[in-house]
Amino acid sequence: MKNETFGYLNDYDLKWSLYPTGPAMMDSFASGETDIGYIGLPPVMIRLENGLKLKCVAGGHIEGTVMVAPNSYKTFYELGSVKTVLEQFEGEIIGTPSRGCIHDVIINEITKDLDITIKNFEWADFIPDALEDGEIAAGVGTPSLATVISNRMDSNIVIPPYKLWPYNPSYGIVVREDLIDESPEFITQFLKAHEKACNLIKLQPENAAKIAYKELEVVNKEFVLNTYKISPKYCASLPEDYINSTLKFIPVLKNLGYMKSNLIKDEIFELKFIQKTHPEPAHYNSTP
Amino acid sequence: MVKIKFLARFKDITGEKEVIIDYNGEIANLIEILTEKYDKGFKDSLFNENGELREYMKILINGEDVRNINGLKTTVNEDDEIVIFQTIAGG
Repeated sequence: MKNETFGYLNDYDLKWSLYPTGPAMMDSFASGETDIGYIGLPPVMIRLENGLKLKCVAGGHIEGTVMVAPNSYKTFYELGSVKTVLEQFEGEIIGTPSRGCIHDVIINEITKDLDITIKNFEWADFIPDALEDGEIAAGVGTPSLATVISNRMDSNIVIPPYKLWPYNPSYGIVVREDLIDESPEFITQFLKAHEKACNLIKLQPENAAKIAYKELEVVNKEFVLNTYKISPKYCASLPEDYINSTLKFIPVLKNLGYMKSNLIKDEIFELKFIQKTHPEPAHYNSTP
Repeated sequence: MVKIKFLARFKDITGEKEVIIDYNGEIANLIEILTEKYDKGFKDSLFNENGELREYMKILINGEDVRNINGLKTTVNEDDEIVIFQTIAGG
């Protein structure tokens, strides 16, 4: 999106910033530095409860959390259940990005009845080295984390994304609530470009990878393509499955002590923009 | 003494997980010392052709991105811990 907005955002002077994790991006929204962002939904829900005025106006990607471990551990496909995979890690430490991010919430939830310690890292990039050094037994994070780890050591995705949390809202497009009245046309144009970008990844991954690796510099196209293949579930729409999966985080966030009260759908989502720009059915699990 | 940790590709380039250097001053000069110490790949990975820190390259001082402090003019003090890495693992 930063380098290819398909002509939709040429009239806007955009400044892009990269944050270590979702909670860090929330701090930036809170300080007024950020107007629109790509982010997993749990940190947004936590901050909504604390009074930050935000709305999710589009989806983007689902099932973007994976669990990776050295290949001495058996995978879901070998053992047949998530519980059996996790039992291998009893007494061990699993690393994940900072508290409150979607990966942290998911791994805390699925290990809550097991003797497993969760260690949070401010930057996901610290996790591969911690795994190499034996400081942690597994890492939980994005598909790109899995690709980095696989480039550095013999490892496997021990639990596939769809088994960790089906349809989890690994990222959506979130805006400062005031932006909805201030710049509705900008949001509409942004979502048009966003949907084009989602489709480029799904339909022309080689071309999308070229754009991505030029932006990232000093990684190759294969790195990007391998990352896309792990969970190629991109789409801008906000179907009921996406919304329901998001709402299922509420009791979990409450149990983990990350939030105290309930949120309803309309407090999290503003659907009018995506209903206009993406009226056709969602295609997270299919080809657009 | 300043501890400098290298992650992933920088660990490969330098052949070291960390190095301890007696240093006090701007981070830019410390990086210059490191570029002389290590293979050309160290400098090329960290900086673009205009000599600017590449966007996805991170230099943290005590956990804080130097871009959020004073950029390459940020002062490094005794006992500071520096981490150098490329951020590609997501968040």
